[in-house]
Amino acid sequence: MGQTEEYTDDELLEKFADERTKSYAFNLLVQKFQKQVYFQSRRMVKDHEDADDVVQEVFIKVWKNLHKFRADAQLSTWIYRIAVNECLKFIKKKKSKTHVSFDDVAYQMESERTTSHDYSGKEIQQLLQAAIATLPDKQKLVFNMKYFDEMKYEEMSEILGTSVGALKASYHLAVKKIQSNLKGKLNH
Amino acid sequence: MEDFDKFLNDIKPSGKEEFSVPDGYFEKLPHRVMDRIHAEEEAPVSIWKWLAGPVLKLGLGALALMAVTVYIINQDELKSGALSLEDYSNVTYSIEELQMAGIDEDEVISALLYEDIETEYQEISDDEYILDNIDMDLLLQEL
Repeated sequence: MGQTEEYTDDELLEKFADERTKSYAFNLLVQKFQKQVYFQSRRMVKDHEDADDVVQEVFIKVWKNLHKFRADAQLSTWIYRIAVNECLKFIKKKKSKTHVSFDDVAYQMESERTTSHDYSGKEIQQLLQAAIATLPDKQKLVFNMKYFDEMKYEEMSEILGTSVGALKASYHLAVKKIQSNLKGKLNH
Repeated sequence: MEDFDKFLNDIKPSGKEEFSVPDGYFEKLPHRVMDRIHAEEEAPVSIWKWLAGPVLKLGLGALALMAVTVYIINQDELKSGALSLEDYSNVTYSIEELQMAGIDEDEVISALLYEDIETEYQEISDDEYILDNIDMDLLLQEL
């Protein structure tokens, strides 16, 4: 995996533009951004299989559109934006198929995680994830980007096409909802 | 709220370890993605996809252009009070006919004048015509 750190985004793009090194460069690009895309997707969708589907779709889109990418934005921001769109699309598609409410998903997540042997073991984080799952899709995105990815509001604004003020308000509201959700479950 | 922010910071998972991932997942992912891309690129394009592609777009574009052109022409004709297509074809026919017959301008004018006279003639009643144009000598001879 050390290979990816040897190349800058510009170098990867240059290699991608050359037919002889296109596949090689793309392989390195996937290695470089796969964890960012996977965990971002995993926080938005319920389980690993769904996150895996989203991740593959994201990188297929990247492959098809990378030649259109212009360096007026960072490559990571551009890929993040594709991932956000794919996550929202996936959730919408899944909701229309299953008609499951947010509360159902949150309840399911909570019970699955407390009984799962794969989980890290921190019950408090299980409850946090369940609380996050009750948030509306876009609010959930904002919370995840700010809280987990520690992204600046300006960068979030570029990705989501929403004003910094609106994002701040959305994050504040999300935190309040999570606080209220956890209140009854935690002695805090 | 400040306490809760601090609480959130305290419980924040370090790194990306808040979810479990199957062993070797990230090692295999780039190859799986590449395999899917190659499979998609090598898959034969169905006739429906082909139709839904540039050919269909081009066809629809041409139809739209034709529709807009016809609409603009119709609008212009309505505004200018221009001849209908039927009138236009009649005029064209008359000019062509005159050209083919080799009739000059004077003859056309005469024909038009005669047409006027004939019109006036038709407006006079038969009785008036008989009384006004009778040759009295011829009448006496006949009697």
